[in-house]
Amino acid sequence: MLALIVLSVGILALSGSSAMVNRMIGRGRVETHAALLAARRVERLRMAAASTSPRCTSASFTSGGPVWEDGLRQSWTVGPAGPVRKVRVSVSYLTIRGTRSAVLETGIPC
Amino acid sequence: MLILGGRRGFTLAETLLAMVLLLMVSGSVYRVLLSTVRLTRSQTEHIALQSNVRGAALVAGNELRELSTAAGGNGAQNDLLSLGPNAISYRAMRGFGYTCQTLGPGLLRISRSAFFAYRDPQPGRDSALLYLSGMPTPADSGWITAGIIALSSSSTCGGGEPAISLTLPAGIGTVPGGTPVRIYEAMELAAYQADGQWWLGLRSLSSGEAIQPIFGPLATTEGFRLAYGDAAQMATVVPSLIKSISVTIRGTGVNYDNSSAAPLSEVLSTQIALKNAQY
Repeated sequence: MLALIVLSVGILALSGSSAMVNRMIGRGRVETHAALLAARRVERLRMAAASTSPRCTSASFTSGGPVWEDGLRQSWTVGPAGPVRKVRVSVSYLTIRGTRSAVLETGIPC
Repeated sequence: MLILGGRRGFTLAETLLAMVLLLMVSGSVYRVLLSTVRLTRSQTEHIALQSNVRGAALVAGNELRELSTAAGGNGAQNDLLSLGPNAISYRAMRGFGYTCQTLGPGLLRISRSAFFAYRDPQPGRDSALLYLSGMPTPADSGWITAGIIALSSSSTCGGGEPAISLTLPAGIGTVPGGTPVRIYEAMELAAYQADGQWWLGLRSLSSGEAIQPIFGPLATTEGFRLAYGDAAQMATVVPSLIKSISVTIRGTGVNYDNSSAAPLSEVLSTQIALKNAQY
C-alpha cells in the first residue's frame, strides 16, 4: 500500500511538472510576441520622430492605443517636450492567472 | 494461509492476485511513462522551434538595423545592394575608424585606438568606404568605395601608436588624415533549399563563399519574407527610398502530439527602421 502511495505521488508530480512546463512554453511564446510587438511600435515611433524637420513634430509621434494586434493589446505613451522623449510601450496578454503586461521603455532623441 | 511444518508462505491464489495487481500497476505506470516521453519530446520540439524562430528574427534584425540609404543616393551611398521578397544583399559593417596620417595615393593608416571593428579587415574580402571632400563634385563631400588590396596590421601612426595600414587602388588619390573610413563586406541573407528543407542562410558575397544555414527548417512557403517600406511606411522596392524593412520568419517542426496533423508552425514578425530613418 505504501509503495502504491509513493508511486501515485511520483506520477502526479510528473504530470504536474509537465503541465507547468507546458504553461512556461506558452508563456515564453507570448512574451516573445509581446516583446517583438513592443519593439515594432518603438521602431515606428522612431521613424515618425525622424520623418519631420524639426524632429518629433509628426502627428504620428504621439501617445496612442489601445490597439489589438496579433491578439495582443498594446498602448504607448510619448513623454512631453524635451531633447529626449521617453517612450513607454505596454503590451498586455491574458494568462491562466489573469492579465500580464510586457513593458518596453526607451528614449527617442528629438 | 497454510502453515506446513512451522514454515510460512503464500497460497497460489495470493501469488496470482499479487501478480495481477503488479501487472495492472506496471501497465499504468508504463502508459504514464510513454505519454510523458511523448510529451517531453513534443515540448522539446516546441522549445526548439520557438528558439529557432526567435534567433532568426534577432539575427536578421541585427544584421539589417545598421544599414542606411540616401534618397536619390548613388551606389556608394546605399547599403542595400539587391532586394527580393526572400533574399537581400547588403553592405555589412565590419569596422569604422579615422585615418591618422596623410600618405601616398591609395594608402591609408588607421590608428588602432580609433578603430572599432568586429574583426581586422581582410584584403580581397572587405572594402572601404571613405568620406572625402570634393566628392562627387569639387563642391561636395561624399562617400567613395574601394576594395582593399593589401593590409599590414603592424604599422604605426606618426605619434608611434599602433595602426593598421590599408592599400587601396591608387586611383582614389591621396587620402588626408582624419578621413572617416568604414570597412564593409557584401553579404547575402536569404532563404534557400537544401536536403529537401528550407533554411535561412547567410554568406559573404565578397569572398564568394557558399551559403551557410543559420536557422531552420523554415516553412516551405513564405518561411522568410521581407517587405520594404519608405518614409510613409508604404511599400517600395527603390533602394534609395527604403526606410524600414519588415521581416517575417515562419519556422516549422515535427508535430509529436499528432503525427498525422500538420507540422508545427511558429511565426514571428519584426520591423527594422534603417539608420537613415532614425537620425
